[in-house]
Amino acid sequence: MKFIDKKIIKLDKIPTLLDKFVIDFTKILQKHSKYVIVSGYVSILFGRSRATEDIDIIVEKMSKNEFYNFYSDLEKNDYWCVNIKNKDEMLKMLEDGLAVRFAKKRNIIPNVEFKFVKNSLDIDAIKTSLNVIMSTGKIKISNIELQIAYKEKILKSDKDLEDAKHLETVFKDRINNKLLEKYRRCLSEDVVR
Amino acid sequence: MLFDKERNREERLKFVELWAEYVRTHSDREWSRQQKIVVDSQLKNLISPKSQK
Repeated sequence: MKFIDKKIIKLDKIPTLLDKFVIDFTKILQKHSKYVIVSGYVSILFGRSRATEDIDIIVEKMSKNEFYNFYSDLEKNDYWCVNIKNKDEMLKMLEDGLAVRFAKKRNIIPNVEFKFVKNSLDIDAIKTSLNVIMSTGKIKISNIELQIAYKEKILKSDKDLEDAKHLETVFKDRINNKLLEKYRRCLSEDVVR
Repeated sequence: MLFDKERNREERLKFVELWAEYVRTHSDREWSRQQKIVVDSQLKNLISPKSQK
């Protein structure tokens, strides 16, 4: 991988089925809203040797019309919502801070766990996102320091600690240690949640 | 012999670090060729577990 600048990474990987799924979905999403991919898929994108059932995506809040247009675009492209049937209910769930899940029609997994921003940490994740360019398309992911700290301090399962270790090792020459420590401190103190 | 959960966790973490170091020091094509085999097969197994038996 090559850092074009502080915000752009060029990745010359052979795409997995998961990478293709994410790129196809975000090609639609980016026409409708700002977004950022967080959590497990970020470490998988950069080489972690495991799959996942769901891709976590945080999206800027949409108005009713914006959400309906987006959902209509998804349907045209053969996606469906796996946990809610009615689009008004989907919007209500999102506005309540809950997730709706989108997958390709006739499939349940993999799916996108889709959430609206709900706190300062989510807003920060969108503002400080990194662009990853691959041969098949480009996506926006959370900055690496935030992902490491979140997995270490909030999620904390064995799988999450392994994801954090993976990212910390792969990016050891690129990590902003002051920023990482800041996130670790904030998340330990439960300031941002 | 009893299963030592803590030692198993440490061993896994060491392997994660070893693989991440490989990713860091090899070309994207080299590590992703290997990653693709694992990720795609796990995903196919999640989608239709019966077909993998």
